[in-house]
Amino acid sequence: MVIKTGLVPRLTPEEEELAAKREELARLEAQLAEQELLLASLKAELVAFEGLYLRRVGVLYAELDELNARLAELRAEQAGTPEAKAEAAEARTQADESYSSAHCEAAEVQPFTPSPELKKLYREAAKRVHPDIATDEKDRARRERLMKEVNAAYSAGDEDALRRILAGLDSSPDTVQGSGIGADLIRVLRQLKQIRDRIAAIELEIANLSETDLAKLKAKADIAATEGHDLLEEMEASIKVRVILIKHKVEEKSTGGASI
Amino acid sequence: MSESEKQTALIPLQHIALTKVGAKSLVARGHVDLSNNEEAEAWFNKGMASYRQQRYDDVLHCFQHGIQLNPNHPLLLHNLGSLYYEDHCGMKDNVEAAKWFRKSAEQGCIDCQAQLGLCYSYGIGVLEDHVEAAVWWKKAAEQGHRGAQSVLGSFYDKGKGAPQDYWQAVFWYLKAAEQGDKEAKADLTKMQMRNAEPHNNSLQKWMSEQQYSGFSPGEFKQALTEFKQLQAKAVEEAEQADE
Repeated sequence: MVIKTGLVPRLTPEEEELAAKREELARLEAQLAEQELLLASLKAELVAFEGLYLRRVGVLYAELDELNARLAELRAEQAGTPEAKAEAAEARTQADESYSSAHCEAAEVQPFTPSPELKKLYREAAKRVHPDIATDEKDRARRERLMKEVNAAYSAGDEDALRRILAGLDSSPDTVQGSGIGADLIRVLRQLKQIRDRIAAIELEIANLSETDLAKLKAKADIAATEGHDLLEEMEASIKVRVILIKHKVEEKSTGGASI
Repeated sequence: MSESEKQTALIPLQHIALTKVGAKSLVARGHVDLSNNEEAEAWFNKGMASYRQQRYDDVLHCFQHGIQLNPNHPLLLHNLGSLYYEDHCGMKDNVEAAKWFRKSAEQGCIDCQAQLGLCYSYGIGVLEDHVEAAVWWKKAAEQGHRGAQSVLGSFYDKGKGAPQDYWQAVFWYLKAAEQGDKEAKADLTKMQMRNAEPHNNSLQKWMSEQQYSGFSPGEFKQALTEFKQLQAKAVEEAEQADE
């Protein structure tokens, strides 16, 4: 908010309208930056949680599937029927898939813990490069590309990258105003609409993301953590039981019946 | 492209993996398993509430639902076995009981391992099979089940379900006796009477065979010392009784 001092000429109704809309625009821009921060944080947190999940729980599913495949292969060896062989082949495919999924790049993503400085830089950058304050199509394309970089830098926790983006913006020509109050008003109204649309789109995207299995799982893990237990550990325990049971079966198959 | 734009373009784009199919399916699997486990837990609690009200049909209904959702729920397995084993309004079914005890025993439940040992010992819901019985008695005994230790001692003592093994018998009798098992104490005394000079030449022999017996020498020495103390005490008591 700007506090005006000195003599102020009476504003025409158009000027008053424009001033009011500009104030609203400033408010919405701040809100939009906040929403973008929320979305970017949610995405980065989900990616980080997915990595953690794959490292802890995913690998156990992979182990379970590997044992399943071995058991099916032993059965196929002993039975020799086409059905048993087909089953073994299917189990092997599943095991290989699970292994590569549990050990994919996504599993290497480290925890996301944004510093207050990173968040501040993101808000600032989002406010200034946001595509929805673009004045024309060319400007919009440039801003969209920049916004992607801002988002990537944020999720990678790269403060320096955000600073570089901000430094590069100073010389940009997009602060030039249009000519005449009428043109200004039209441009501001268009920007207002674009921003409102984007805020609505972000809300929808957040709602959709929250409906994914990953987000639901993370929500449960977060609740469990506040109650003092570790959901992933419980999931690990329940899969480990299955791993042990199937290990016994594999051993029985390869050694025959037990006695003491 | 300006210089700063060129620089920012070099930021390594963090791999946004939310759309990756493989990882996604592993996540979906975890989510489904977790939801099923939670639901199974709810059925278990509901079943237990019915049990307290002695509505046994409801109990069975709840437990069956639960076990379908989580086939490894430890308490559901245990309680399904018990429910069929106990006699509730004509629901007794030893075959079903043994089936659930076995699943639970395989997951390491000590009580169900002992229970399954009992089933195989007497042919309850399964064909009588002393070798199989010995396997389950031993699993429970190793986990510290007093009754199972006592029974396992007698199995080795009599060569039932396992090759006769005097030292193993003593070892397990002792383990049970340590925990206050009166039968094991009585069996120890009986054994000692049968063998007035209990294989006194064979400690050395046993030491050389300890790999077969599966005990560490230290472990067994300790057991032997305790056995000798018990033996001395038994002799003393017998003398007192004579007087």
